Amino acid sequence: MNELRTILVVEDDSDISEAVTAILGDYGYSVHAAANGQEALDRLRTFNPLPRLILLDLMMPVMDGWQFRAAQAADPALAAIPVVLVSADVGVAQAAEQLAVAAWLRKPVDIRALIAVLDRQLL
Amino acid sequence: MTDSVPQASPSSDAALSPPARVVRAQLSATERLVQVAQELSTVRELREIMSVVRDAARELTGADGATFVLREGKNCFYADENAIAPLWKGRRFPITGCISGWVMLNKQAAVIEDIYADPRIPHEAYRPTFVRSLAMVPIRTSSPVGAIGNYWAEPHLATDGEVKLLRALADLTSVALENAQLYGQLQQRIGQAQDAVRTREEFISIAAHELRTPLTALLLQLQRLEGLSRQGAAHDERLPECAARATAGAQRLAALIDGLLDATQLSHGGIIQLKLEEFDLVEAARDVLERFAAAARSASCELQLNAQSAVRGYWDRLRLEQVLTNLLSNALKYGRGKPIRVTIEGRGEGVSVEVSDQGVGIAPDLAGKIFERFGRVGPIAHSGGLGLGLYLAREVLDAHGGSIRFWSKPNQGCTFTFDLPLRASAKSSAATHSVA
Repeated sequence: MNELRTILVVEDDSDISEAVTAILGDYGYSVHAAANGQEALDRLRTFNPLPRLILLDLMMPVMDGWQFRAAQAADPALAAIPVVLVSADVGVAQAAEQLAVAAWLRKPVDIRALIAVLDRQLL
Repeated sequence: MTDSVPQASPSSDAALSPPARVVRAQLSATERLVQVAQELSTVRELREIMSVVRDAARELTGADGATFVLREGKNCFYADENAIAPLWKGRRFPITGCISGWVMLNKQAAVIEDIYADPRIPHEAYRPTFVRSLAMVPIRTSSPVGAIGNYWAEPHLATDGEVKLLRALADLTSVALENAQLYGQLQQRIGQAQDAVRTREEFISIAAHELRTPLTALLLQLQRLEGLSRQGAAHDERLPECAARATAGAQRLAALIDGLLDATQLSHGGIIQLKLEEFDLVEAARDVLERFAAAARSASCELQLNAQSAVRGYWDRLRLEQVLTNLLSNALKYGRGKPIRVTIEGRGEGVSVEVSDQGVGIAPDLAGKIFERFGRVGPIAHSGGLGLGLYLAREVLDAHGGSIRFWSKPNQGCTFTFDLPLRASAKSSAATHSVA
């Protein structure tokens, strides 16, 4: 596993999650998936080392992206992991600003744009 | 001078000859009526109409008091008044036991010089008041909706002129009341139209948002397919898998669009068409569960099917599979990591199906809304799917003559149970289920 290129995808739609996992795999990333914010927190707390970046959906059952960000910020061990927001919401740019994330992408996502963002973040 | 008109403006009348005084008083009353007409043309509420009319009624005749009475079925409601001392504002009298009732029932004015000599008057009601004489006219003569009363403390036989003025005022009042009613209806219609537009806009925005989710998955697979093809790896084992996923994504998109069309049709009073055939519901459920095998694995959910024996009946197979699919995808979404149980039980002339998860459950404040279109609201909104699943499930079951209900406790999961007759009932088999 390439630890420098490990990413956690937090996405409730399994089709999107699987597609992103496969594509990032094609590009040499090592990808873990969580179906909602709670699962993401649970997984993050067992990771060693931690993933370099989190791709975060906003609207998810159980724990949404907003709640996840709040929980992440409250946990000193996790707070520093950069987050890229990926959402179909029209207000994604505004949400990105409020949640103080590193970058944002609007669904449907263009692969090249996604890879460009990841490469920039993981330089 | 028997047909005198009251002196609404008594300022310097003493200097005038009697005929000139009459003309002046008539002019003044006409001016006042014109003013009333103008005021009534601008007010839209009953309260405002009553206020204008009770004041004008007293001024026009120079009476000591005026009342505005409304008919309320078998009662007369003394809704408003303007008088030198309190009369009956806020009180109700039987229509057969008061003078305003008599006026409305007989569709004609009443002029009474001595109220205590008139059998139509309920004397006890008048004893605490200053009233000795009165004149009362109905509002709208064809089918009175109310009455306007004038009262005098000293004996006074209302003149024809005074009664004519009151009648003119009653006519203006009648028009104003009708306008207010029409205005109210218009406002209501406008409100309904605005609600419909709002619902439609909401529908479109949610639909657009939710279609993006499967579209995103599909586009990602297509872009990946494109990328892999460009690399020239014709025998890359990832290609067929990627193509299959793209196809599945497109099918999911198509199903979502079908759901949207169903919901749109239903919201326009349309019908759910049923194609009835005989089949085993247990076998159909097994098929659906098999289709969920991969999704269940990735959600770490064990799928269990409990059924003692085959349950054959006449239903629409595709529609019932759609219901099970909707219930299962909800269970997987909200009950990850825990088993999901489907139980099918034949019961005499019917069958009962239970889909049960051990997930987060349904928040109590959402419980009343989940079967509505876009029932998924609040913090879990837009979590995939259109929020149409349960709405369509209920409609499909309704069309079969069946029903659906649920049990849920936060963090303990939820169970959806639907009951169906073994043979979809006649009304629904003709596919005549309509929704308002």
